[in-house]
Amino acid sequence: MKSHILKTELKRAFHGWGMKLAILLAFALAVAEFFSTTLKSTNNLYALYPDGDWGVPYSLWDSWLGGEMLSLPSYLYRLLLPFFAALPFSSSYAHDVQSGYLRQLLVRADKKKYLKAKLFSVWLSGGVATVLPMIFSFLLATAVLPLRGPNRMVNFVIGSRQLFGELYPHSPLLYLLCFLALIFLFSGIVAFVALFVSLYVSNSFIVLISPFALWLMMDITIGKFPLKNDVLLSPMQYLHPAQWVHSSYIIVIVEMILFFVIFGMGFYLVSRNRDTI
Amino acid sequence: MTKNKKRIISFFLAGMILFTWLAMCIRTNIENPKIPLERYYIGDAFTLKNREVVLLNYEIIDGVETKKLLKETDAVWYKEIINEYNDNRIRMVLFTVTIQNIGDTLIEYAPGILGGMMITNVDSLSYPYTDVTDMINKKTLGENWSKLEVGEKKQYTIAYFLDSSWMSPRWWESVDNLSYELILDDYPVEIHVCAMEEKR
Repeated sequence: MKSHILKTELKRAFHGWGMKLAILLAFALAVAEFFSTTLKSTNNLYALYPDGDWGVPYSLWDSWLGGEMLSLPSYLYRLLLPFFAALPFSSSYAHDVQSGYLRQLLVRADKKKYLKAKLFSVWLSGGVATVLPMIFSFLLATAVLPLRGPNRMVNFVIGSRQLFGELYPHSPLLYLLCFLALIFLFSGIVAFVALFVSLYVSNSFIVLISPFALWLMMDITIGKFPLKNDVLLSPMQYLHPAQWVHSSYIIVIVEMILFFVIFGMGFYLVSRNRDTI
Repeated sequence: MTKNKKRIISFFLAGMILFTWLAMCIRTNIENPKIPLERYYIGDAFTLKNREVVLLNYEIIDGVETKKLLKETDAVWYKEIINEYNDNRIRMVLFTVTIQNIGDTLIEYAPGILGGMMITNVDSLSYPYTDVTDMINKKTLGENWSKLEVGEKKQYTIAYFLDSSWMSPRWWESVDNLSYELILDDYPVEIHVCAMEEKR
């Protein structure tokens, strides 16, 4: 029965309107980045002094959504990342309660199994929805920019101080995969915020917007106070492969655990102990 | 439209998109070949924009000496480093090169071509500190230090600054033993000059 519930929840998560909208928005962001940054970079791929004028030679690695943090699409991605994560399935619990679906289901299945399946589906769909814009943008960039290493004649900032930074100069693709995995893991957990809020609020819009509000609040508060050596605590700043700020593995792991414990475990425990639905 | 037809159309469209993307990728990579790379070591001569350049030596100097060099320049933005930075937080790498004018016109700013990056195997570190570079060369070569007459050869020092906040603590511990490399641009060739006496 457990696998049946999980299968149903996953099917609902990946076939719902939320995921379709997330795919559409992801594609829109990737296309916007393509026209605002990627295409411009095709003008100079080789030299610091093309035709005698000073210029910056761009490469694939600094000309897509995850390669730079200056363009509007890139900023929107960092800003709306928790919204992307919540969009596919985070409001489903509120919907299940309101529609009576949950009551019907619990007659036939165990509540714990349902909650675990819900958490897993929200995490998985949230993770997929947040890495999609990156994947679309990278694939679009590879169509017009050659696949060669990062251009080391310009001062790219990713180095040993950054997360997975030691991989970047020699294996940029491996670096990218590691970072996308981190975004996947983290943003899936961030989607639990909406799930937790849905325990108390039935309005889908408020539920979906809640992780974004927390994200923004975190950036405004702790994001403004860097620790020693300019290490930043705000995930909105460091959860981007271009990493124009410093962070550390400990901070990332602690923040992920906090999000998971407060919102993921919180949702599970509160919901499990509720007598009424 | 039946479900089966919808599925066939979706597969067809997906196939078309995949094929177009693959074709564009292949075309882009054929049209933009990899930049040829020339690698040199200490003592090797190479030409770069009408100059023959030889890297003679390099030296990593500690924080105390770095501050002394920064103090000697007129640039005000070094004050923060001099007053607030711990001696162990900073280093300077000095590259000694000879540059000969092999063109047929006077060169106004001879070391300017070495404006590339200094890197290690884990980081891209910095551009040359022109204030320090200019100050050192002016002191050793006199007022006309930056000019190179046709055929003339001079020995220059190029200074690169290092700050521990740019590197992970693990790598900073071995900053004095890392191998350094200059990456220079002589379009359509990229030149790597390794500050090592022997080939790796």
